[in-house]
Amino acid sequence: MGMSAAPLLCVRDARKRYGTVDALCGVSFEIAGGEVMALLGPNGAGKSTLIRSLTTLQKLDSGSAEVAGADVGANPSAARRAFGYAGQESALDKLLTGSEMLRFQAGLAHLPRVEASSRGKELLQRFGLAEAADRAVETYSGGMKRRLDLACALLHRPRVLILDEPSSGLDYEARRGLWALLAGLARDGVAILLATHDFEEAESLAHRCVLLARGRVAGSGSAQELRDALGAWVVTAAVRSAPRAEDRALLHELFSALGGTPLPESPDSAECAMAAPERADGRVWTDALREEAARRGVVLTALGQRRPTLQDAYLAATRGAAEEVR
Amino acid sequence: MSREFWQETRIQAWRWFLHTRRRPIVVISGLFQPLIWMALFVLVLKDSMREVIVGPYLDFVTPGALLFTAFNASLNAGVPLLFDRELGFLDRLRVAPLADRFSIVLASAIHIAVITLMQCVVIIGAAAALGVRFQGGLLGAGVGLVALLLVILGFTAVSLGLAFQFRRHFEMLAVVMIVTLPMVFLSSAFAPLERLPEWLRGLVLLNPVTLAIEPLRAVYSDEEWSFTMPLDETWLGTPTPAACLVGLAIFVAVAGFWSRGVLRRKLA
Repeated sequence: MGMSAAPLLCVRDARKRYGTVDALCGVSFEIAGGEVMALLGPNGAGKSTLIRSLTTLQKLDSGSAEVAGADVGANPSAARRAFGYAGQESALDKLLTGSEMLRFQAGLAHLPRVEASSRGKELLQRFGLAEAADRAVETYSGGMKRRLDLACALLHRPRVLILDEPSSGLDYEARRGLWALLAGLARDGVAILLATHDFEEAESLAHRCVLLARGRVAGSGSAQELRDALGAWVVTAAVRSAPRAEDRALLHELFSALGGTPLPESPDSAECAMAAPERADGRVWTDALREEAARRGVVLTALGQRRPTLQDAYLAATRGAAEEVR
Repeated sequence: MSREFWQETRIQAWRWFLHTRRRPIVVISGLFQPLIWMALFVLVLKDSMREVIVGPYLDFVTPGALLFTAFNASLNAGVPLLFDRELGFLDRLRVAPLADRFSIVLASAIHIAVITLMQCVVIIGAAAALGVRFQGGLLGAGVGLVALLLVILGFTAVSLGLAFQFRRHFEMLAVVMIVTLPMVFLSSAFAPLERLPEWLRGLVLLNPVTLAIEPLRAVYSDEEWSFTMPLDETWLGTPTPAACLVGLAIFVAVAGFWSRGVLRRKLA
């Protein structure tokens, strides 16, 4: 089916405050049918608040969110019919079997008995759980539980799927299997919002990423766009001649002298990084940096150069946003 | 109530019955507890009660054991829901397109009512084997059933309301533990009202457990019972089985209203 132009999930200027803490400060984005969007952000960035608001588990203070045209605040019942949700933990009843779990979910979604049975069997087959259908959920592996959770979320054929860290706790094989299933759902036209800490997951699955920091959208675009926005190269370097703060100042001076953009770094990291464009003279950045350091009498203890990753873009955006707030 | 409401209620009740089938120990322990209480009370109190009770103490205590079973089971009805909440399962219900979230309460009440009535049948059978006969006839059985159902519905509503108020099951269990024994002992479940101080007798009459046990005991032990027969004299008045049932119905209505309000507020 592929991607459709009409957005199925629209978030506009979403705001939420807990006491004195702004959890969401005007978040906006849209997801079209068949599109997978990854929501990336550090702990406390507002991902869970946003997910809970979109799934009607809590209300936004202001702004709006629509799922397949249904406003989640004004018409939560219609919104609940339009989305499927699987949370961080597999919310399954361990005493039930896989097929009983799906029957239960079908009853909550008011599916007629015949449809519930055929749809349940179809999903068990599709998610590789047919053989384990009559086993108690408590005997399932982590990957099987995740797949069953996802099957429950999809039982009523939602047009939007909202997932909170769907692959947490899964081994590599199980994660790959889950990603293949999600990619298949997107091909069927389902809009997927995926909150994750896993950059590989975001790169493998998502057509676009939203980087969330301190309740704000700190960046958005495809993984390629986010990487390109950072520059052609990331150059890393470290010196050890003075207190940490002075090391940083020294390196930032070096970076600026060479025309690079220092990237925000972790306070406990010994290494500093800069984003840099392709060099016009064709030389590699590490050579230029080493030369400049020698000219200034600075001894570098580490030096490296690589293409930007999504993680670099994420760190630059989220740390940058955090520093702006400070 | 819509077809969707009954479908979602049925499927939730079905889940609770599956739990019971797969964890029968909960039902068995719930059955043994009142039987043990009955045996202990008869052993300890039968002689001292001889002066204040007409007939064997076992006849007196059997309706008390039935009520205790219903009361205890329904007051704990909310605990599984709290576990659902702690384990994230309640969120599955909250994001489901339910027609009315009151189905969560009703499904739990249906489950508790069926299981408790089955336990009551076993207690009645055990008491009958020991010579306790039900005297009240068919109408009396209906009245007894209504009294038990009202207690189950009322306390299940209270319990589910508490389950939505608390965030952790141990908080709820602490409250249930504090409430259970005073509610039972400040009733006429195991001792007649005449044994209580005068000032307490009227207050005890306001206890829904007493309001249920008085008509139940009347139909259980008196073949000439009537809806208007006077029961015990208190400073609050002399209740009749009819007045007790009306009082119980008011309790159920208030509990249901409160529970529904809590549900709406907490799960909005």
